[in-house]
Amino acid sequence: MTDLNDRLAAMLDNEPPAPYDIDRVVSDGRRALRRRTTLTAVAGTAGTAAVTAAVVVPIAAAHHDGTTKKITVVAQPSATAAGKCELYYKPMPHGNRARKLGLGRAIARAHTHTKPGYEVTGVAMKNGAYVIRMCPPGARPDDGQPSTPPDPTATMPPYHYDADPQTIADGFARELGKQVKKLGFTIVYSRPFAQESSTLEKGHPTYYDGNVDVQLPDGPADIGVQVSHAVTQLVPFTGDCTAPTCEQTTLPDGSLLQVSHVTAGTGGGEVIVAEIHYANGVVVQAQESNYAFGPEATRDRTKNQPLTIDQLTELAKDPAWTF
Amino acid sequence: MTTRLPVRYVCTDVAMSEADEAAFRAFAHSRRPGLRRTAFLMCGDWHQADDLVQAALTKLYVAWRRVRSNEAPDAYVRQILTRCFLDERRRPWRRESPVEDISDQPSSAGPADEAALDLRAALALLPPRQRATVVLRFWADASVTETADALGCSEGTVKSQTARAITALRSLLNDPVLAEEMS
Repeated sequence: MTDLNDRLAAMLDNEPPAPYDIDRVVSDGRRALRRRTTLTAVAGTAGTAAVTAAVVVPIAAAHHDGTTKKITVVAQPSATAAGKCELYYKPMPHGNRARKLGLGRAIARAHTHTKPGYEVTGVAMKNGAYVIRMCPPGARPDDGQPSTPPDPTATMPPYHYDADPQTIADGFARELGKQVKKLGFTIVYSRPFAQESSTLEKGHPTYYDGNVDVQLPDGPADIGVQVSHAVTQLVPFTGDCTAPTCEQTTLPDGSLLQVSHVTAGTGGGEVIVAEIHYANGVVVQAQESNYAFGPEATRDRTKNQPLTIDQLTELAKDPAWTF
Repeated sequence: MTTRLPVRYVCTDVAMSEADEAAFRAFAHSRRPGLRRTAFLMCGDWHQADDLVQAALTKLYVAWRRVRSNEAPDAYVRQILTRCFLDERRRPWRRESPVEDISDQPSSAGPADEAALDLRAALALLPPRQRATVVLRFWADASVTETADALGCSEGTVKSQTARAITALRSLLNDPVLAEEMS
C-alpha cells in the first residue's frame, strides 16, 4: 500500500450508510432491459415493412460543406378531417447499439418537430434511414403510395470512423486556439481535446471535449467546445430547454440552437452554453465560464464572460466541428 | 408492396432467469461498498456517488448475461462507473468549480483529518479524467491496462494522465513525502 493509497483511504472516514435497495437496482434494470428490447423489436418488425405516405415533412440535414440537404417530399394528404399525418426521416448511425439508441432519439426529434398532440403511429427502417409516421389523434393512416426515403449517404454525419482519433482531436484543438486568438484573447492554459467515447463500443471516435483558459483584465476565464457524434447518445447535454435560462431557436438549416445560462457552484460562477443539435445527430456545444479550469484556477470570478452570446453562438456554428 | 405497420410497439418478455438474477444480486451486494467508495473518491460527494453506483449497477443488469459469460463483471462495472462519472461531469452544471464547493459539504468530509481534506481539495482541482486515473490506479489498484479499458483510452494516455495528475498533486499538496513517493 502506498502513502497515497492510505491518504485516499483516510478520505473515506465517516462514510455514511449506503441507502441502496438492491430491489430498486433490479427493478430499474428490468425496466431498462425492457426498453432496450422494445426498441430492438420495433426495429426488427419495422424493417420488413414500408411506411405508407401522407405528408412528408423533411428534417433538414446539415451537410459537411455547410449547406442544407433537403429531403424528397412526397405529398399525399390524409383523407381524415382530424389532420394530416407526417413522415419524418432520419439517417441511421452505424452500429447495432447506436441504431437502437438512435431510434429513440429520432422519435424524440420527430416529437419536437411535429404539432402538439401528434403521436407515433409507425416506425420503419428503410434504405439506411428511420422513417417515423406521426399522426394526430383520430387520423386514419392512408394506404397511399409508399414513400421514397432519400439517399441516406447524403445526410449521414460527415465523420470518418476510420480516422485517427488523435488527429481529429488535434484538429479540434488547433481550431479552438485559432478561433479564440482571432478574437484577441491570450490563452493561458489549454486542455487538449481528447476523444472520450461515452459508449462501451470501441473503435468509434464519438465524443471530443477540450477547452482553453483565457486572460481577461480581472482574471482568467474559460472557453470550451464539446462535439458529440450521433453514436454517442449517452452523452448528456442540456436537454429540455426551458425559459428563462434557456432559449431555443431553429436555425435556417433546420438545426436547433439552445442557449442556456447555468449557475455553477457558488460565488457567482456562471456557465453559458450554446448548443446546436444538427439533424444528423451531431451535437456541438460551445461553453464559456467566468472562471478558469486550468492550473491557474482560483476562486475568483471575472466580472464578464469572455464572449458575447453572438460570439459564443458563432463558435458553436463553426463548421470545423462537424468536419 | 406496401405493408401496414403495427401501430403499437412490440414488447417481448426479456426477464432474466432466476439463476442469472440471483447471481447478479450476489455480485451487486458484494461489490457495492467498493464501488461506492471508488465513486466517492472520483466525485467527492457521497450522494452523487450513490447515484453513480445506482446507474452503473442498473447498466450492469442490462448487460449481465453477456458480461457474466465473459467472466469479467468487475472490469465491466468499473468501466461503467468511470464513464458514468465522466459523462456526469460533462453536464454544464457539473463543470468543475474547484475548492470552494468542497467547503460547502462539510458533512461528507469526514473527521478533521487535514491531510485527507488537503488531498480531497487537490483531487477536486484535477480534471475529471486525471482524477479518475488517480483513483483507479492508486485506490482501486487497477493496472495500466485495466485503467485504459475503464477510461476507453490507450495505455500511453493512462501513463501520461497519471504523470500529469501526480505532478499536479505534488505541486498542490506541497508534500515532500508524497512527492517523493509519487516520483
